[in-house]
Amino acid sequence: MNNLPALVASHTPGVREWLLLTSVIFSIGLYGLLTRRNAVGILLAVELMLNSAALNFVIFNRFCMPARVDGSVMAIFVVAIAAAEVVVGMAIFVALYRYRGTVDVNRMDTMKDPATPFEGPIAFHEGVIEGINKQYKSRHDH
Amino acid sequence: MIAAAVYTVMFWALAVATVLLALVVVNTRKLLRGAVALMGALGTTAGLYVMLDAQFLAGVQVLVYVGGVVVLIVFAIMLTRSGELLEDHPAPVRMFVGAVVSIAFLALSGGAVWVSPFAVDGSGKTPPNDALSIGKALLDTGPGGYVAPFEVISLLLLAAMIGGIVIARKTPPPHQPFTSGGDLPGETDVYTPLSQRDTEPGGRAS
Repeated sequence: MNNLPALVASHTPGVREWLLLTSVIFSIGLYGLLTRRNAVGILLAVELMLNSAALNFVIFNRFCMPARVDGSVMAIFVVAIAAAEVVVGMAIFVALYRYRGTVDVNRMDTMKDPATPFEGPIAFHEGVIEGINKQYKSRHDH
Repeated sequence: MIAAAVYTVMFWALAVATVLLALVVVNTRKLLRGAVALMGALGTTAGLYVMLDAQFLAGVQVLVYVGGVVVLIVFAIMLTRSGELLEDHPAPVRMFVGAVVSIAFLALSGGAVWVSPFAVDGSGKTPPNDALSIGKALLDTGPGGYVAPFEVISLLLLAAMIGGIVIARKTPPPHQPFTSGGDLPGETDVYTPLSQRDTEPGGRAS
């Protein structure tokens, strides 16, 4: 029992343990990115991935180049980009919700070739649905 | 030796907490709970920054991520009413594909990390962690300085801010007068004067 601190101290995390941790977090974020249906949920997963990437920069700075601060500077850049991305993402989702009434990414198919005449949700601008149906008619009538 | 033991225990505690919170973020059906779990995961990441001798970054993490980004995400959840709805479970095939892709990525990157020889600096030095050296590197115009990326990031933040305002701004539908709300789906369809409306905007009974 006396050598328990020594035993624990002999397992001090090295660069591999740290990098494995960030890989795990990034993979979890990737899973969320691929399975979420709500666009805001996808934003959450992307934040996780950006966070683990910034952590990676700091890990390499700490273990491989401890005399400089380049990793910290890059992590600050990542944080700034993440903030900008969240601002634009939130604005897009709010505008999307206003026009479509949903932020479900499975229903974001306006740019698809319409296989069936399109009824559309209630919130479309006047004329958009007629335009889509006209396009449908012109492709399938002849 | 005691210090090393404490360091090890703290690392594993923070690592397990971060991974569990990240799992909650991607798996919960309540998005608001996911946002709170993300706040926790970012907070434990700030603890990991402290353990990596990057105290300034830990402060930045708490200020910008936990204080700013998560609040913006909560705004997004509220404004899109995602918090009121339970999100559907993803389709089984989608869950299967997501799990396969993420586990394959983890195996690939983890294996690469495990077998790669890293040029670990064994001198025992710790990086300069004060704001002074980071600020000097950010504004350094010499070789290895970061003043150009710093300026580009400033422009990017400005553009993102203006773009966000422009995209999320209320705009009236073409050829129609500006309505009072514009927030609710259905209101942009046909303009009904307020005096002729028998229901609340958006069709909810008054």
